[in-house]
Amino acid sequence: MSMNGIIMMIVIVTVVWGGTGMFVAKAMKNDNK
Amino acid sequence: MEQQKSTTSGKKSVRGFATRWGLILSLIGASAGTGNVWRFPRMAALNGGGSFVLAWLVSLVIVSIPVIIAEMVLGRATRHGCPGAFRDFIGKKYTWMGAFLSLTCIGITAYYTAIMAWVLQYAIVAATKGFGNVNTELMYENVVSGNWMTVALFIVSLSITAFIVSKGIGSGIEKVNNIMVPTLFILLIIVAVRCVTLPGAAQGLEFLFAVKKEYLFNPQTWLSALSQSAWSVGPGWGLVLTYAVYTKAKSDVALNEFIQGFGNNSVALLAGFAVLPAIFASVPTVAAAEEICASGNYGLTFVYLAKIFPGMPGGYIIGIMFFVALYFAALSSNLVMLLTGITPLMDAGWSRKKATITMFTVCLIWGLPSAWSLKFLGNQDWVFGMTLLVGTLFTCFAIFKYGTDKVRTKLINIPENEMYIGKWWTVCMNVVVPITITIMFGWWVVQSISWYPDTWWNPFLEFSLGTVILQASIHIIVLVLFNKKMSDSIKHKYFDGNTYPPIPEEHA
Repeated sequence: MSMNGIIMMIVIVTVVWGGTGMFVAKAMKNDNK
Repeated sequence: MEQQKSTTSGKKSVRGFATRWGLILSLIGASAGTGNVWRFPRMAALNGGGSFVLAWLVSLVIVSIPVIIAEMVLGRATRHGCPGAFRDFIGKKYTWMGAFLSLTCIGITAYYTAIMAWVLQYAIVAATKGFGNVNTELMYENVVSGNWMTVALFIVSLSITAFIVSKGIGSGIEKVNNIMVPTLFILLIIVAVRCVTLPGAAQGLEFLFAVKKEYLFNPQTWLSALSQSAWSVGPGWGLVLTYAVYTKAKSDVALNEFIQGFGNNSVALLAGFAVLPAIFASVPTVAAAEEICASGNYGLTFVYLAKIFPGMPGGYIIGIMFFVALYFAALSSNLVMLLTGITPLMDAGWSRKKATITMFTVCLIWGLPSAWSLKFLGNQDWVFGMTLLVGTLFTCFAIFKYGTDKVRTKLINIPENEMYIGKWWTVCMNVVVPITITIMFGWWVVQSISWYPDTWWNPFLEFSLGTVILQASIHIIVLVLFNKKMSDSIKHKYFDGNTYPPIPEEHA
């Protein structure tokens, strides 16, 4: 894999999966809403 | 309490979504369908990999998420399905616009259930004998046209969908999604881990993630990414609007919708990790892999992946997991699509049971031709893909007519929120979404003309512009003619213009 591919993979995975995890964690602080 | 009601037996039954977790999983399940699994990976491979993925992420934030936020407001504020939501939000004469969204969803449910029947048939073959000695080209041709087993499994899949929906939200849809959506994630993770550890898989990841400059600045890459996001997340379909009817008044609109959008993209990315490495690890050349990706959604999944699985270590189990995951993805979307047709009938005073049986019958009659003929199914997929874009524009219109910034300040940014939305949303809803969706619609119109340069107007061709114009016109004319009748049939009005009412009794 090229450096271009590796860097983009890290960026995209961080944004998409990291973003989802961050939003879910924020929401789960108050499961009643 | 808003959330519970007493039954005659003295038991407490849930009204609407019981938990936020259940709502979040159901929203992700609504968006994450087969398109995430079979369309995203091949579109990424064909449109410059990382360049496409970047454009797809931008489309999510500036188009899909703003519209699903708007839908959540429409449904929760009015506590009605699509027709009633449009009636109470912008006026009686616009009821038909909401009905157009519901009708589109019912049309999609009809043919989408036929696709579920194919997937179920493949899952059964994967589980019983595997694809080792199967000619997948021949099997695909047999399954998609003139196959009684497909018809039977179509009826089974529609019955499963209707049965779950008939149980209501808290006791049916939410319970099932609480199990099905996490299972979908787990199955895809296992399949992805297996596929990325295959020899040669890195080439697939390179194709998925490496940015190619010539694609990054190509308008076609951006239009393809926008199409993928619009047809995957589902902005303007009425799905989120329908689930919103059953959400708590204090639930955070913005945060829930960001989770839905990003959750949908997470599923697609997982599928990318599974599908592209599997393809690139199995073929000798890049050109051969590209040829597979260009073979269409159905060709990729039902011909090539089914052929590839037996050749990989653990392929028998992976094949089962893949098709079960695909079926779960489809079912979690089908549930809310059918509900989008049922909720307006309940607004008109029908019982859930009567509304479900009616919609089951409508989808059965409308979907049988698709279960029998790939040509009919392809035509319906093309027509409703285009009319969905019209539904997105109708949603923008409803928000604009009410006052976009008024919606943002009064109905989205409520004091109980954990996330607040800035003016960027107003700009997206008033300018970005209408312009980009109109351009996308025009781009597909131009493409369809290029498919039939001399006969694009012919309404009897599978993918012609003429067939879209004819079918959409019939839908709109009928709905406009019955606008007053539909508007008058919706019994209650709950929206006071400023606050979210509780979940009404008829949707208990």
